[in-house]
Amino acid sequence: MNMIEPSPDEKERAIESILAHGLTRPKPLWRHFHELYRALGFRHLFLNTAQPVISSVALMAGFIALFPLPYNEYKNAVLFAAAPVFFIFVVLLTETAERLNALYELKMTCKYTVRQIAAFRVLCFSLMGTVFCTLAHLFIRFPDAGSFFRALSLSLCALFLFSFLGIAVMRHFRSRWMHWSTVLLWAAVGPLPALVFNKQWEWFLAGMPIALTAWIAAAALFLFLREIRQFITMQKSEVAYHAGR
Amino acid sequence: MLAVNHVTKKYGAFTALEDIMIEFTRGVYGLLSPNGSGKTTLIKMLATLLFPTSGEILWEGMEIGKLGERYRDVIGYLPQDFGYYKHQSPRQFLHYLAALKGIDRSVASRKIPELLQLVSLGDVMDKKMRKFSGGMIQRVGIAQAMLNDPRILILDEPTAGLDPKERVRFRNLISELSKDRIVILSTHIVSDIESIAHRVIMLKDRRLFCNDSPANICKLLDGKVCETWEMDAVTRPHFPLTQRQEDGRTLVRFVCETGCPENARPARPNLEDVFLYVYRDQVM
Repeated sequence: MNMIEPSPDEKERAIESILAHGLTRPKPLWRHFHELYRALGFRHLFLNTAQPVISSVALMAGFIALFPLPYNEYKNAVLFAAAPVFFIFVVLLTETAERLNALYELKMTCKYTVRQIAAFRVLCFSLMGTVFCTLAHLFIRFPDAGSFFRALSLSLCALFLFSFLGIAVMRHFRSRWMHWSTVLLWAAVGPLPALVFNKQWEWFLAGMPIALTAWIAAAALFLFLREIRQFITMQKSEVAYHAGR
Repeated sequence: MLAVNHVTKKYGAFTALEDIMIEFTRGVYGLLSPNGSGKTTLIKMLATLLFPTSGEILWEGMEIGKLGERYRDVIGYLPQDFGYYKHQSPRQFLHYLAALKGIDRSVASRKIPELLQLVSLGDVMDKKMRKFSGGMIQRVGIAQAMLNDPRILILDEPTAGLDPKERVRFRNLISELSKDRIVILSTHIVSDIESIAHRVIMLKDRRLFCNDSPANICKLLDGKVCETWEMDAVTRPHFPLTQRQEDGRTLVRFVCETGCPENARPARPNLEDVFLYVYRDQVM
C-alpha cells in the first residue's frame, strides 16, 4: 500500500496537538466558584438557606450570652468555643436539609451538583463566620492589642479547624446525619474543656504565643481550601442507597 | 452508545448485580423485573449516583465517572421518588433545575413553556404545585428530565402511582420522546413497556436474564401457554398464570412444559406470562 510517511516535524506537531486536546489544565478553585455563581446566581445557590442562617446567628449570639462562666474572666475560652458555632450549625442545618430533601438525587445528576453548591456555600459560611468573629472581638474590651490579636487568632484557629473538619467529613462520609459528628467534636473541644478545667483552660489559651495560634489558623485555612478543592472536583461520590429497598 | 461492561455492584458482602453486559443504542429499553432484583441499582449506576464495584459503564467509549459533568450534561433522570418544591410553580421549578443543568437563562425561558405544553401542563404552568395530582407531578418530572434535550433519558419506576388514563398518556409521551434518544425505563409493571419498548431487559438472581425484543422474549413460552375452563381436569404438571371471569366461569391461563393437555387450548404467550413464569419463585 502506498502510504506517505509523515515528516518528523509533522509528527511533533501531531503529538503536541493531541497533548493540547487531551491534557486539560485543572480549573482553579476561584474559576469553579465564578462559573457556579454565573450559572446559578445568588438566589439559586442559597435557596432555602435564610432560616438556617438566621437561626445560626441567633445560636452564636445566644451561646456567648448564656455561657455559664463569667465572660470577663473567660474571654479567650468563650471566644474560642463560640467562634465555630455559626459555621457548624449553618452547615448542619442547610446540608442535612439538602440531604433529606427528595430532590437530592435528582440534583446530584445535574451539571452543577449538590456537592459543588455545598462547597460554594461552605466557603461563604466560613467567610461569614470570620466576619462575625472579627465583629465580636471589636465589641469586646481587651487590655492591649496583644490580647486582642491572641483572642482573634485563637478564634480563627477554631473556626478554620472546624471549617476544615466540616468539609472533610462531607467529603469522606455520605450518611445523612454525618454533620452531627462535627457538632459532637465541637462540644468536646470547645465548651467542654472550659467547663471542666475552668481557669486552667483560660490560662492555657491566654498563654499561647500569638505566632503559634496565627500559624495554626493559617495552616487550618490552607487545609480547608485544599479540602474544598478536592470536594468540588470529586468525580465519584455515591448517594446513600440500601439495595432491595 | 452506552455500554455496561461486566458490571458488578456489591454493598459490603451483599452482591446486588453480577457481571452485567448491556449495550444501549437509540430506542426504548424496558428494564423489567420484580422489586429488589437490582433494577434501581443499575439505574442509579447509569445516572452516576452509584458506581460499579467492578466493570465499567462507557458512554461513547469513555468511562462515565471520568466524564463527570460532560456525561451528566447528556442525561435526563427521573428518580423513583421525585421531589419538588410545593410552593413553586412548574415554571419556577423548571427554571431552578435548568440553572442546575447549566442551561442559559434565555434558552430556558423559551424551552420551559414548550416542554410544559408537551406534557400537557401548559394551562397550569404558573400554578403552585401544592395541589397537583400524582400524574401531573410525574409529567413535571418528565419535563425536567427533558430540559437539556438529553441523549439518554433514564426513568426509574415512572408510572408508580398513576391512574390507568395517566399511564396511557405517559406511554404515548415516552414513545414520542424515544425517536432520537436512548430511553431506559425501569418498571415491574409489564403493561408499561409491552407496547413501547424496543428491547426488554430482565434481571434474575443478580444477573442479566435476557435482553431482547418483546416478541423474541415471548418465544420463550411458545407452545407452552394454555387456557382452560376446567382446571381441575388438568393432571399434567403446570404453573398457573392468570385467571379471568367470563359468563360466571373462570378461564385459567397456565404454563405446561410438555404442551397443552386435552381439555385446554393453546394461547399466544405475552410478556406478562413470561414475567410471571420467569419470576415464579419471587412474584406469586
